[in-house]
Amino acid sequence: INRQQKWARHTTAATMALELEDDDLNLSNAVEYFTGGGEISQFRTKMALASLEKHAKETGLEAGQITSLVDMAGSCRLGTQLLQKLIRCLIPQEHVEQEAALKVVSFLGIPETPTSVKTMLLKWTILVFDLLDGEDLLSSLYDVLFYFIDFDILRPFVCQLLCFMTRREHVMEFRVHKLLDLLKRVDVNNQPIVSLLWAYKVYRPDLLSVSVKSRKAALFKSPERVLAADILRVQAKRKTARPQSLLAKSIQVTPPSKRRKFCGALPRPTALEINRRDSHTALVSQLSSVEDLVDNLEHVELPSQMASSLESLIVRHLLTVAPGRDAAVRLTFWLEHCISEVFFAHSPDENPQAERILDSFVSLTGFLQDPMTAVQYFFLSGYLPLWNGVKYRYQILQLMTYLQPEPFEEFRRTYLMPIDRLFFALDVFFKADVLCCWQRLLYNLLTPDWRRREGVFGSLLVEDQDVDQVDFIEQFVEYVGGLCTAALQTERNHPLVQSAVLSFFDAVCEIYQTYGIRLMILPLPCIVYRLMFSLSLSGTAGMCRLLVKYKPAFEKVAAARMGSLPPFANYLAVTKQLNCYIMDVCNGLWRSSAFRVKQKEGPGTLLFEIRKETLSALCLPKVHDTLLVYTNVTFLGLTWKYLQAQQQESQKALHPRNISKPQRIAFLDFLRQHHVESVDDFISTFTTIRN
Amino acid sequence: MADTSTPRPSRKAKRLDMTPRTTPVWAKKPKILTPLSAGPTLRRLSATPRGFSLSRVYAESRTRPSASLAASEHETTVEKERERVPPSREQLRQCQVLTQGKWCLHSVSPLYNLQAMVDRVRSYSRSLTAHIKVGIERWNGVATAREAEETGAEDGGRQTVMRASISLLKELKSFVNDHPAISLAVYGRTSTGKEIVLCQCILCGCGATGEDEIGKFVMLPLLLCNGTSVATSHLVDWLQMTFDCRVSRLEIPSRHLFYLIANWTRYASDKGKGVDFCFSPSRHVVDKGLRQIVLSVRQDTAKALLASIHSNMRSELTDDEAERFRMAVSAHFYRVFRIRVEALNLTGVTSPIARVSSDGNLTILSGDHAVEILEFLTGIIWKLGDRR
Repeated sequence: INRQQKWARHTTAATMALELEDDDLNLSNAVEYFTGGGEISQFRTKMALASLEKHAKETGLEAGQITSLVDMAGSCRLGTQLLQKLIRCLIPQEHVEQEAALKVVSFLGIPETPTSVKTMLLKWTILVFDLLDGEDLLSSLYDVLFYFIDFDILRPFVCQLLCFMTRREHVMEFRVHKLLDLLKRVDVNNQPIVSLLWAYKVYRPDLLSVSVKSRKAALFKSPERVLAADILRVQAKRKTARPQSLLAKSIQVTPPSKRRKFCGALPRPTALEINRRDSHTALVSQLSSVEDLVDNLEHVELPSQMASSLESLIVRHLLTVAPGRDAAVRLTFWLEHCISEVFFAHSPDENPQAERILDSFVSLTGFLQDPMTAVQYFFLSGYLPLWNGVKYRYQILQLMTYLQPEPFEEFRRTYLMPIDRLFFALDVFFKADVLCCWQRLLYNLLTPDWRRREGVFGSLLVEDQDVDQVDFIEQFVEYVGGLCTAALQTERNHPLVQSAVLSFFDAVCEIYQTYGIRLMILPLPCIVYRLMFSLSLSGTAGMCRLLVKYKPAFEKVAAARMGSLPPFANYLAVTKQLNCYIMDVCNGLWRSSAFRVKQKEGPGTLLFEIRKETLSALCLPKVHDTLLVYTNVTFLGLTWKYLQAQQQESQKALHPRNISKPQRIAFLDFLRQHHVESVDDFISTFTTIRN
Repeated sequence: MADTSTPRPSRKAKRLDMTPRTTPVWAKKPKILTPLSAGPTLRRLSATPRGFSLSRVYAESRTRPSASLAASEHETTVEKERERVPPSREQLRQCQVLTQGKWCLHSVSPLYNLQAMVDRVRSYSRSLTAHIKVGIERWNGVATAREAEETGAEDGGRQTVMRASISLLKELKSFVNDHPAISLAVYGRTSTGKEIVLCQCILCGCGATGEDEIGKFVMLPLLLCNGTSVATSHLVDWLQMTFDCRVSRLEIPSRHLFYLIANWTRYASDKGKGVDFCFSPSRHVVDKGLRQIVLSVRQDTAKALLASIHSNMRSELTDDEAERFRMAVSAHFYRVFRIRVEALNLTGVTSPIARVSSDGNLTILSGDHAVEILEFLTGIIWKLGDRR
């Protein structure tokens, strides 16, 4: 029996050792184990806790992991002691989501959750209070928390948390009465209640006539010293790992627990009582939704820090509906100082807040549909010459789409030339990005003037020198047209660049038709013919689509033409140019007339001006058919498919020349089936073949 | 209620009526303006070739302590119109406060709605007291003794705030039109009952404000802080929240340190202590043990060098002259010590009247010239803010 027992013990130990190796759970597995809702085994729990503790004390946990673990801690799936141990592992790496604190408050009301766990969760919330990513959600639960002040065991921690959360608007008469009653009932010298009363008295000395004794000791003690030390250690370690943090720069002496205040470079929508004009007005921090704002629009006050509009949706709405010169100037001053500090600092280290701040600029600019003056005239004009084209590419190109016009030469020097410098140095993706950016900028330039004049920052602008819309757009499109040509040449008709070029000219052809601006600009001949001879189907098809799109615009011009007065300056020249494009593309793709120089009638050719000797020297058989839609090398793949479909059972050799003239319309239908409808549209629009 | 039956003519229509054009007026050259009075500021704006940032607008709306600007005719005219505050006993007394201890420099964006009236100042004091008291208690509630020791707080990290007071230093300014400086102090008590100053801050704008009022904004761009970390951070937090401003640490680049020391040298007497330049070598050298190189020049030598560059010692140096001074000092050090200081970072300078480091620590050694020192530091803030 002894041998059997020994053998059994040995086997168990060996199994455990093996399991120990296999189940050396990493952090994500450990979190997954607790939050996944799977089976709980004692051994695995022990392992997961050990792994969690090790990682948490070394590097801390991410915000999302903490929220899910807090959720698990309240669900009572583990024993009380294990849960307490788990809560001690909730050491935040950087910040804690407000949702986690919300869950803690919600667990206080669940009778199944053991009181010791509730207490522990409250202690944890107190310790991470300064690391929460906001206060508005928790502040809205002030009443709920105040309810738990009656519970003897929870009272010290609830009082401490309430004391942390208390602002002047929380100090109400009924709360003071409640606390005084409680004091009489419990103990006159009950420290937590006295401390909370002290905080109330600090904010509203008029409400409390009783004297709260001045103390020599602190109001509250640290509720969990070991956990507090762990949290501070991890935060300090992170701080030394990133010495360039905004916190360290702004106030070097700031203690770690106050880190969030300066680390979060963007302020929150709060209001100080001292700045309130009227005590009956609503504070932005009291509004929880846009509907609330609408209901209280007449009574709501601007927040004490306008920069909170960078992150708060309600403040943004408030900024647009009640714009004031002061509000815009306040925001502009703040932005300017912030930009100067973050992007033009003396120190060469990159600021970790920079990307977050730029994201908020993009978001606010997009919301207001109005370029923030500080961003354009202070950030973009100063930063573009230093920009390497890679860092913050998305944000900068987004901000560029809202640029406001200046005299074109100045605009080109300030904003376009720094981009040009990078345009030819960087890859095809950057070129496509920039062209798309200019397309969006063009759309924004085409929209009417009301936005700028009546916008939030309109009042900051001084009219000094006229910028003519038509001139500016004409010069801008010509400039980008040149850029498109260069991009197609340097990138050898890369499909991405082709697509970006076509998108830009899609916007250009809407100038007259959609926006009614008396201007018609066609793409340069080299762009049209580069696309026509492109080896990419999307390029050729896109060019056909673009020419079709120009037709209604010209029809509108013709309809609007009054007598002999031309609708815009170079009307005849542009019309002739478009006709040349259509004729050349038609001759090439459809009429078997490519490289025919002499035309009996029509506008002539821009493309096929080739000397006869040169053409004959090429010795190409049937040179006039080479660009036909079914012999064109661009469409060859589809032609091959078409022929295969048509001649499945035929033994004849497959060749594009086998497509007879009557079959050409069937081929166009085949192209349409394969989503190349633009060629059919082009042929149908500009020839009579369909008729 | 306002009568809405007759619509007000739009701005655009008004302009079109006044100046008929062939093409519609669509966009104006954007310029940023904020000063409400449209006097010399607007004229100056329209003369500038392009849009300006706000700081520049403000910077140009008053006389800057920059000689490069003073060199222009227009600015010189403006400067003549402005009246300097004559030195007085009260000013000297207020300046003496600055000579006590080391100050940490911060730059502050314009303060919104700051009113320097007695009753408002009193309510500011109350608000600041409440803010700091609750804030410090919050801090005490989570701080551990060990951590508090690290931050240098007394009494094992426990600080009890008694009150905060705000007062005006009316004489601490350069020009008559400057806004008076504001002193903010937080008083606390140790566990032994001893009253201490936890933190003292001075907001000043020597030479910052011009004749043009800027609406509800007050220009006090320089904040000097001296005190415990926790109280300072709460005080700065309160400033940012109450006056919708942004406070950031002032870092002074090398070239501006040269500019400062060149100008400060003018004020010191020949018999004073020498001028010290503190250089920091590259990280590679620092790793091998050499942390800093301090090179000194005798005051009379420095002044003689300056006199060879800048003839009129009563006027400020231009940027060019400061650059020439830098090159001359570099050449001198190379000739004497064979050290190329161009390759080193200038991290601090000491003159007989003040000592300042690149990370924004200031010690004022002579109260007589405190106003001038603050004026030059304000000038540095403008220079740093002027990006275009």
